[in-house]
Amino acid sequence: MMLHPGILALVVGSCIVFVMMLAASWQGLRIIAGWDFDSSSEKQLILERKTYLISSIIKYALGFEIISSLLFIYTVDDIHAMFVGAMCATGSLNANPVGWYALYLKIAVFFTASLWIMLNNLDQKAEDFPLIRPKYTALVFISVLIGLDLFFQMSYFLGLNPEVITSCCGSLFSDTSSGIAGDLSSLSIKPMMALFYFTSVIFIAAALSCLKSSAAFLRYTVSTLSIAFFFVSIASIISFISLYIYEMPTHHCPFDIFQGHYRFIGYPVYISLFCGVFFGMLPGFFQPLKRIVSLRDTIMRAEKRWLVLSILLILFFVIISSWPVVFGDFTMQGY
Amino acid sequence: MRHLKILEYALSSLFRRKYRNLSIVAVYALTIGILASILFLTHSLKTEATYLLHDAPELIVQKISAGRHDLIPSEYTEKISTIPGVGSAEPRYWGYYYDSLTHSNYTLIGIDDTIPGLSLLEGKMPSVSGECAVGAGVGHARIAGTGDTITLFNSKDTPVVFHIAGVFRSESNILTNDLIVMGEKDFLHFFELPAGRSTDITVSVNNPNEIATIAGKIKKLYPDTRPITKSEIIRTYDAVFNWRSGMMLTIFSSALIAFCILAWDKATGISAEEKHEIGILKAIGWDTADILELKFWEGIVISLTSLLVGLIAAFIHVFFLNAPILTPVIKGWSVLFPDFRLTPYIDIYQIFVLAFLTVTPYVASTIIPSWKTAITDPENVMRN
Amino acid sequence: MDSLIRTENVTKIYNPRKPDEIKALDDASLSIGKGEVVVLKGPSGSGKTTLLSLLGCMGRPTSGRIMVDGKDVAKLPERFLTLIRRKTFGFIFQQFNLIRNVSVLENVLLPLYPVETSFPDMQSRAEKILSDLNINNKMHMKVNRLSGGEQQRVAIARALINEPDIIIADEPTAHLDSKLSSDLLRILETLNSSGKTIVIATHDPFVYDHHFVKRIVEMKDGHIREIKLT
Repeated sequence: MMLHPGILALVVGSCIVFVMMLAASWQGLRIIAGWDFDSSSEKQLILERKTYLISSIIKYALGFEIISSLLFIYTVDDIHAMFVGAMCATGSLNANPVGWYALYLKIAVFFTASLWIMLNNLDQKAEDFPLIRPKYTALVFISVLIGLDLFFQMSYFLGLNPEVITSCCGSLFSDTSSGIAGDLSSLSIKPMMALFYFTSVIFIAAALSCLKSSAAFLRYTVSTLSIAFFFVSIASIISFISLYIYEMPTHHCPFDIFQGHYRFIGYPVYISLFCGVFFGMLPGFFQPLKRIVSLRDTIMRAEKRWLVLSILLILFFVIISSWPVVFGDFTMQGY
Repeated sequence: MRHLKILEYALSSLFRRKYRNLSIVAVYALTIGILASILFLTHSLKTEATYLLHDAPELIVQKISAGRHDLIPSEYTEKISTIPGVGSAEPRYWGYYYDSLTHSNYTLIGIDDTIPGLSLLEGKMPSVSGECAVGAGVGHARIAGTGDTITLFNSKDTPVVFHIAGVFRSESNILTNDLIVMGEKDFLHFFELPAGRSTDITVSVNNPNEIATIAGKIKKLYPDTRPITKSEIIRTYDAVFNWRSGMMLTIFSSALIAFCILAWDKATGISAEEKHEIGILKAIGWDTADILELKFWEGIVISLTSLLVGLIAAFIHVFFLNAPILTPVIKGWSVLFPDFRLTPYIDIYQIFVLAFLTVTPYVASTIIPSWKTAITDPENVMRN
Repeated sequence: MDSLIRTENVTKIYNPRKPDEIKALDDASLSIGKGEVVVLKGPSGSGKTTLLSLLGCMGRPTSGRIMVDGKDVAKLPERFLTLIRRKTFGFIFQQFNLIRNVSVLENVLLPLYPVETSFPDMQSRAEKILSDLNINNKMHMKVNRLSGGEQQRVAIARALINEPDIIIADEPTAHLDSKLSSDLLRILETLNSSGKTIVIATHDPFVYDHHFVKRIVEMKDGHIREIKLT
């Protein structure tokens, strides 16, 4: 099973990135241990120069993780033919449910690594490296996530047994099956739609009021709402948005929308959702850092940009995912 | 704007050292070309095989005797066709023929009228005794076309002459390439097979959901048979071809590793001139991050150029030259096969896999050398 | 007079605590005012290049303070030093340090590549400077095909492209004959009269005896021995 070319590429790439991350974490810990900002010693200069290496590695690792998430989905989709009853990526993932954890971890790595890069950008705008310690401690955490991702990915692929009869999206996301996925698709469409649009309106309203006021609790609200909106949106994609895109009343697969058959609609949908949610998370996340004098102004300025970006991206996401609901030929009357 | 300017400088800097960079691109592209050839070849073999199976019957029943495939009596056929849910059961006559003249293996098929799926024919199918239709590969190997004759030697080494009534056009590839189709009686006569027995039985099933049930019933009725379902074959093919290409990729990954060592070496051993140049840039206001970006763009340009060149080379190698380098290794059994041409295709997923497999190690092996270059002390420029 | 750059007890040690430790600069204090022309004079190994590179924010001192425009830069991370260098300084090196096989125009534009300026803006600025220096007719030639004097002018143009307040020149006449040296000094004099501060390290009497030099800093063995007003 491991010798499928896509799997080989994923595993080789993940191993490389994991090793790089371990190296970066090790260097990060050494930086924390040896850091002395007031020193003009050669050693301090070398440590400062190492920060470039580490941020360079993390940027590459993030880029890799984003691309590898896509490759993971494509590969899982490509191997579905080997499982009796599997008709798309969902079916292959069910053939060995560990695959879902690998996918969740990839999403977690996307958010944490992006956060780290934002943290790093902020830190580099200040003259006194205020975030050195939290930054490089967080690095260890990201390495652990990437290691776990590698582990689950490996055990998923190693545990795949082509003879296993799996349920496909047809049955997994059908109303009768149990588990979260089944629950998601058995949610009645009308309340789900209501929740989706309600959350998006609340989120945008909160984000807009953040632009006007500087109250701290608004920042935390926006971040909480953006995380909530992420889960509501994923649930909505499975529950009803996919139905309108596929124009089939029982096809709930969240991955098929990447296919050319559906005009690659999945890319703008997921990119705008992930980025919009990410920028929406930032204000609350960075609110506590405003206490650091050398960062305060930078954060205040950046925050405006994040909020505007987040509002625009989420708005875009809501519009394109609503498009088939509003203008499509497909109607859900009677379901 | 800033990124564009740095990209522009990266391009001009690569171009200034074109011979050095071309040598990297050449080796990189060669590595990618080999890996891509493996992927393209196995994938198209798999596609061909799947295509071959497209018109295959849902169920094939073979008789197993002493653990080996044996001829199956015709009463089995009659009995199976009466099982409820079975559309029809037909005996099939086929076998292999080794042609010492051309050192190739042909597949001989005996038919009573026509076989579905073999309609891509020039001329006509054999209708009278002594006539046959041949695949393009066979016709090519024996330099014979419609209207010519072809002589085959039976097991007593007696020549038997067949008139070629038709040739299967070459587009149908593997499916018909090594084929010689003749009448059922001619076939039985040629191989001197006992009457009332066939090679195997094809069973069509009315409701696809019942295939497994019917296979079970057949197995129960005749414990000495082996029913094989189409989906089993497809899955097996998939697994085998994935395995083959994965195996090959693993072996040839050593090429990739060798390349990465080269990349590391090239990136680390930057010339004194280049180091001086980076020093100048830093002295006049470029930051370490700018140099890292410069190196990033250089890596991207080199990777994408090599990827493109490697892919094009592999495409030509596999689809226009028939993969002369890889064919013996990867097809294995095909040494005894007449030539056939693969259908060109472009699969984005494969290109993606390939890009991922080759660019990641390259990029990873240049990060540290790039950083080492980037932290060049600007002050060095003032001392020599 | 308000000082533009001031060093206070600056020491620079290379390879500290190693066998090849060198104390290149020892307790150097110096103040340079806006619009001044200052010459660092001394034999090679006297520490003038080290002092020059510290004044130009190329590196950090081992100890002491360096104030540029009222801001202590001695402890700044390298990327902020780069930002200051980019904004405030123009450098003319002993070897012209141009990038070979690259055109005159591109060499001059290089300092602006990492800055958010559009190409047309950059180009019009470069053309103006190059025509002021009378070398605009060779704009598209590769620098290694120019004569020494022309290369020197390209180097000057590159130092001016970011509109710096301070020009740092390290042995600028070392590779020039007397005619070209006096051309160079004339250009520097013009720049000074347009308000630019100029710091030159040299041991060429032709330079430090020139009438536009306001102060001579004599250096030996890493120490500032005396500062003479002319």
